[in-house]
Order: sequence, then C-alpha cells, then structure tokens
Amino acid sequence: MLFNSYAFLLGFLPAALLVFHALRRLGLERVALAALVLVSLAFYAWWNPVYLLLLVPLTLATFVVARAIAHCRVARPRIARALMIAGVVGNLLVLGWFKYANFLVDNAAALVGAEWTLAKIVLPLGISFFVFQKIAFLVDAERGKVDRFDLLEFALFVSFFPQLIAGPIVHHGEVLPQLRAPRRDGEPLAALGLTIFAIGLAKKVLLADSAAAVATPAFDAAAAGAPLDAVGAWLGALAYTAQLYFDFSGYSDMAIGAALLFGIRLPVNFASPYRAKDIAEFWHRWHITLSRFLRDYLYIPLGGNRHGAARRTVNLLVTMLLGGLWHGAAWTFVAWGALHGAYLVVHRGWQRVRARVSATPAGPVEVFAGAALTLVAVVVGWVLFRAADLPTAWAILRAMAGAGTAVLASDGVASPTHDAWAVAIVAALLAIALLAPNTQQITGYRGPSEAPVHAGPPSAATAAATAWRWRPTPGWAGASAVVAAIAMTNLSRVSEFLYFQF
Amino acid sequence: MRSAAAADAARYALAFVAALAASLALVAATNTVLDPFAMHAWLAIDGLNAVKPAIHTRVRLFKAYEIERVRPQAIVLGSSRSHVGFSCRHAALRDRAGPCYNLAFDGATTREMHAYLVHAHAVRPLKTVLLGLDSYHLSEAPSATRPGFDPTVLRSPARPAWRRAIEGDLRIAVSADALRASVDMLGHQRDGEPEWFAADGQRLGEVFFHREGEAFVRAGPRAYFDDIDRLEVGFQQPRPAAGARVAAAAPPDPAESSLAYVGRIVAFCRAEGIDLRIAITPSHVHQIEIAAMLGAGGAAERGKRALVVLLARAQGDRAAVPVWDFSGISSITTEALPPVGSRAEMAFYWDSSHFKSSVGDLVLDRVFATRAAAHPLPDDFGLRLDADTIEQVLASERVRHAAFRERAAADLATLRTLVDAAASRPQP
Repeated sequence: MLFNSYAFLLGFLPAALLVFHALRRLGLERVALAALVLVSLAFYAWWNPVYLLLLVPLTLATFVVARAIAHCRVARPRIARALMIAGVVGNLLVLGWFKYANFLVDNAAALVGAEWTLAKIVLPLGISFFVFQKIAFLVDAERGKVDRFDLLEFALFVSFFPQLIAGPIVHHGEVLPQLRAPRRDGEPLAALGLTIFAIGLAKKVLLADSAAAVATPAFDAAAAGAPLDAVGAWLGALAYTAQLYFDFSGYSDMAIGAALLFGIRLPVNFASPYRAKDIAEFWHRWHITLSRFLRDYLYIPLGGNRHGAARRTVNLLVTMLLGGLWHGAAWTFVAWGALHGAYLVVHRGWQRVRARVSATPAGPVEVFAGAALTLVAVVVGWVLFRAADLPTAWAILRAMAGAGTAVLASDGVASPTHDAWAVAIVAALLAIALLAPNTQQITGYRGPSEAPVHAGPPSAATAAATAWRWRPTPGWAGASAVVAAIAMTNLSRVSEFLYFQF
Repeated sequence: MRSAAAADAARYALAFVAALAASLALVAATNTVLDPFAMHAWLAIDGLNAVKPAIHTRVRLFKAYEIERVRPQAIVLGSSRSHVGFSCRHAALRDRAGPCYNLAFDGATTREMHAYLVHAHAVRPLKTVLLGLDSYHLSEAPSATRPGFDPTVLRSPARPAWRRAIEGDLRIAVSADALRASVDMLGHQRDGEPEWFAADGQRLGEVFFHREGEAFVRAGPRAYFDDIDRLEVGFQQPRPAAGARVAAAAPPDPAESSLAYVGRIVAFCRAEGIDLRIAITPSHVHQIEIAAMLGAGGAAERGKRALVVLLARAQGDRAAVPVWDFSGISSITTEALPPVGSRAEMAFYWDSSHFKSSVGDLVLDRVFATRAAAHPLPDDFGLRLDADTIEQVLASERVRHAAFRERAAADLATLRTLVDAAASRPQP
C-alpha cells in the first residue's frame, strides 16, 4: 500500500489512527503499541502477505540475538562479538539473497560463459531499510548502547509502518525512548503531522509526477536507442533530478507526517540538497539517515579518516561504492556510487590544496561556482542512477556533452523533450528545489532531537521561511487542506488514448 | 486539563479535515453532476453537459459504463477496425436475442478484449460474441494494455462491487482530470460537432471521416490513404535496439501472450455457453504488402496456423468455434486506389487499415450466414479456417497473392517507394 493511494488515505490511515488513539485514551498504552504493530504488519501484508514470513522471523531472530549479545557483553565479550557478527551476517545474507542473488548469478554466468539461471527473486518491499535498522541495533547492542530490551517496542521500532517501506532509516536511539515515554503533546504533533503529510503528498503527486512526465520519455527513448541531442538529454536529466528529489523527499515528509499523527518524531531525511555548496555538504542534505548509517556503521568501522589520507580515500570509495550498490543490484548503481566516491575524494583534495593556497573564506563567486559545479556533478550522477543500463547512460551523457544525434521533427511528430512546456516545468521545479523554503523551514520541524538539521548561515530562503513559518491557525489548516485536496484529486489520471487521428 | 496549545491543535486538525472533506466533496459533486465521461448519464442538459467531447478520447472508459445501460446480450469485440466496421443494426446482430453493442475500441489488445468480455458478461450474461481479430493479434508477443485501460472500472467475479465503487467511480469523481474535462466540456456545448458515436457503440465512419477539417476531407481520400500507409510503416517497422534489450531482461511469459488471451476468450465463452464467432478482419492488401516489404511477410500465416491449433485444442468433443479469414486476397481487399490527386472515395475502405461499414456487413453476412448486406457477397471473401484445411487454404492464398502481385505491379512499385521513404525516416 502506498501513502499516495486512496486505500491508504481514506481507509487505512484513518482506521489506524482511530484504533491507536482510542486505546491510548483508555490508558492502554501497551495495547495501543501492540495494535500499532499489528496495523503495521497489515500494512506490509497488503502488498504480499507471504513476506510477513520474512519480516516477522527476522525481527524475532534479531531481537533474540541482540539480547544475547547484551547478556554476555561484559562477561564474555568475544562471544558477544561473535554473536553480533553472526547477526549482522545473517541479516546481510537475507538482503543478499533477495536483492543480489540474481545479479550475482547473471554476472558470474556472463563472466565464465555459463548458462546458469536462477528464478527471478521478488524483492520484498523495504528490505534494504529494515535490514539496516536491525544491523545498527545489533552493533549498538555489542557496543553497550542499548539499555533496554522489550520485544514489543523493538517490533514496533522495526515495523512501524510510516518508515517501513522507504525510510527514513530510523535509529533505535531515536524511536525507542519515544515509545517508552509517550509524549503528552499529541495534539500539536498531530497538527504538525497533517501539515507535513500534506506537503509531502503535494511534492510527490504534483511536483515529482510532473517531472516524471518529462524525464521518463527521455530516458525511455534513450533506452530504445532513439536519437537524443544535447537539449533533450539535459532536459531529461534535469527533469529526473527534480523528480527524484520531490519524490523521495515527499515520501519522507509523508512518513514523518504520518508518524507525527501517532505522536512519534522521525528524523529529517532531506534538507534542500541541491543548494549544497560542495559534494560533502550534498551528502549532509540528501538522504540524511542513509548518510548517517553509512558513516557510523561502515565508514568509521573501516577506519574513517584515522589512518592517513590514502586509507581515508579507500574508505570513502568503499563506502560510496557499497552505498551505491545498496540502492539496487545493477552496474549503474555501482557506477553511481563509485562516481560519488570519486567526487568526495576530489573534494577532499581540493580542500587541502585550497587551504595551502589561501586562508580566507570562500567569496560569493567561489561559493556560487562550487554550488553550480556540485549541482552539475549530481545531475551527471543521476543519469547513471536512472538509466536502464550503462550503454544508455553513456548515450545520454554523450548527448549532454554535445556528442549526441540531432533530433529532427518528422511527420509533424515533435520530440517530447523539446516541448517548451516541458522546459518551463523543469525550470519551475528546479527553482522550487533551489529557492523555495523546504519542509523544515516552513514547519519548524527538527526531528527527534529537535535540533537544527543542517547548521549554516541563514539564507534568503531561510529568512523568507521565517515569514512563512507554519502556525496552528485556521488559515494554515485551510491552506494545508486545499493543498492536500489538490494532490488527492491528482492521485490518479483518467488517461486518454490517442490512436493516430482516432 | 488540556493546554491552550492542545486546544489550538485540535481545532486545527478539525479545520483541516473539514476543509479537505469539503474540497473533495465539491469536486466529486461537480464531476458527478456534469458527468464529462458519461459514466452515469443521468442528466443531460442542452448547453450544459449534453455534448461530452471527453468521451471521444476515453472510449474504453465510456464503453465500460455504457454497457451497463445497454445491458447487451450480443457484443462485438475488436480494435478500431471492428469499432468502425461492424454495426449492430445489421440483421445478423439486430435479430439475435437481446440488445447488441459494439464493444470494440481503438488499439484494443486481446488482454483488454478479455477484460471487457468478462465485464460485459458480469453486467448481463452474454449469448453472442463476434471477435474481430487483426493479424497482429495472432502473435506470441506479450499482450499489454493501452493508456486509458482502467481495470478498476470493470466488473469481474474476483472484485467485489464496493471496490469498484471506491477505486473506480469515486476515484474518477474526485479526480482533477474529470474536473478539467468538466470545465472543458462547458466550453464545447455550441461547437455543433456531428455525432459520430452511434447508440450501439459503432464509430460512424460516414460522419467521422467527413467532418470539416478532418484529414480525410482536407487531403482527399487518396492522399489520406497514402498518409496512413506511411504511418503503418512506422508501426510495423521492427525496432531491434529496444526489442533486444527487453527480450534479454525478461523472457515473455507464454501465458501472457496475445494469442494466449485469445485462448482465454475462447475458454471463457466455452465455459459460459456463449456463441463465439471469430473474424480475421479485412484490412486492405496494402497492409499485407507493407508487412512483406518490411520483412514480416510470414507472420500472418504463422498467426493463422497458431489460431486454428489453439481452437482445435479448445474444441474437445464440442462444436468448433468458427473462424473466418477475411484478410486474404479477395475482390474486396484488393480494391484499386483512386489515382493520385483524385478526390474520389474508395467503395470499401477509409484507409488501408479501416474498412467501411458496407464491408463489415459482408463480413457479418458470411459469419452469421445471412444476406442482409446491400452488395452481393463475393465468393472469394471470407475463408473458413480449421485445422484440417488450413494448409490448403494458405496454399491457395499464396497462389492468389502471386497472381495479384503480377497484375498490380505498378501499384506495388508505388507502395515500395512510399515504404522505403517512410522507413528511412527516424521514427517517433
């Protein structure tokens, strides 16, 4: 079930809220949590009930192993470490089987020229997210950072439906304390949640889907081997840049909004990433909870920046390469991860060179140039991320570099990517992504810690956002509801079919 | 005691929910009353919503609901050829038990035809089905659905009525597309466009093609015929790059092929005791020649063979489902084109794909053994196919085809020039 579906908006969510809050009003806190677990499992089962046979046992097994780790952590640390490694490997094996088995077998077969085939394995929804949460829990149990083991709380932490399918990748330290001590300011959180959910829904339905209408034909045409010129290629790539941001950040907003309706604060996942002045800042603003996980549970355990420049470079590349592969089992994602690893290495090198040359802070021109270069680099990366395969990505990148094929109108059929309307849509969407206040700036939401997400000098957009700051007034309620209504009326299209002149 | 902040927030939530519900209700009420897609057709006011232009590009949606009003017991399934060519006013269909409705629509795939067959039968049990198949339907290629196909508005035993009411009726009622169509409809009430949708679901070619400004009128029948031939080259031209990639990524599932859905239609009619008759539609010979010139000449023969094998398997100990082939060489399908520059109309065709209703009448005469058409039924038009005679029929067809190619060498040379020129252009 998707957040942007009538079944969720008109049926599932209201029913879940009704049950949960009714139980809490009766003072049945534990029963309310148990009900929320069941509701979350039902949410997951809506897609395919069979995969509950994966989610539930994996949750139970992780909990048992984590408790065993905590039990022997002090007295028998080696056993605790072995258990932790076994638990992490077990989770990774599950992820590897469902997500990478086909990829590995296909590539191994191609490499040795064999005809090995493996039946298509369907990827369970959200597996990449909940496996990471469990790994973090196991590692922290071994580090002594988990102070209480409660199966009900853990089950809800893993299965809580707002974050189950597509994150944010929630850390147990953020959510479990909230489950133990439910907030007493439920109504203000719910008001905030409605607004953030409406913003997310509008981002997804109105903005991301508009961008997709431009991006998808361009990438599909390239995949089909159709000619593509520089304008068409750039338009497609920029449209996808907007689509991915509004789609993913919109979905994260909906997750945060839905969680707030249950009185739970989820971490912020996006903070206007395309405004980043350099690639390192981009990763502090894009999919923040993934960056945080990769840093804490991969980059730092690998050695981080503690063992010299060469080791740091290797650690960065490995982290980004695996981060790329986490997004999907395809060489395009590996290439995308490697590219961003290279970006970060170059950025670190530039920082060192610049520090030697000048001690003065960057001026406006340098800042602007850095931001523009970062955006272009990110757009280039998104081509790899979105393309059907590496040859398609290469064809689009060549076209972006001016080495494509001119698209000629034939028989009055214009290329969809050369439509002036498409240019206007993409320009408007990028302007919103770059200049408009983001969800946190509008609503003041800061996540579980309630601390600012990305520190930095106030921008023009921030100042504007202060004037536009959300307040729980009837005017804001009406405006948010109208935004939600417009998005809901656009949830599905009543498609036309035009068959040449018919 | 609740704090002031909590009270403010509670009022906020209440205002939000009330405004959201009111907004959606307003949209739903507007769309339900104006009804731009003729889903309900309970109110038609001249100058307000009597003219509904949006249905012309949403035929699948319109017909899904129209069939609930007509409640037919005889239907025609097929693509635009059947949509334009077959009339329920022909005696063969008119005189059968219960109302008749032409449920064909443009670009219909066999998967869609199967879904609409199940839907129509759920509305009222059917007695007769005429299945109009085009040559491209008889293939092992995956049967997709087109934009505009919406399974949520169709009835089926597997989906309860309440789901259709919410996921179909309500969803469309609160959609922005329906609202836009409603607003757009208000501005088209005085257009005076002639009605080319017959009450029995047929697209009236005599009205549709003769509309003012229509390419058929503007360019003239011959030039229009050539234009459609050029487009057909684009449709039939193989696209190796995309095809190869898709094939490598996911081998097609035989159970989901176009022919497999023909099999499902046959099985459904068998199981439900419906009188099913199949006609392979009579496109103009240019369609066959274009396919041959593009290297796909044997596909039609393979498709016909596969169809009779499929029907023979489904037959069991019951009477065979009759299938008639009208696509071969005949005095109808080889009708000569008017000279270049002429504005004379052809007797049988609008273009190389779409035959006129007069030809559709001949097809119905053959399939239902009636004599209701205005013209006499030529002996060479419509050959019965079955597993025993298929090879003889195809062999005689090849002989007739060779003879046709000899006598129509000049026309085919012109067509070759047109195909070569169209094939060399980049395709959209």
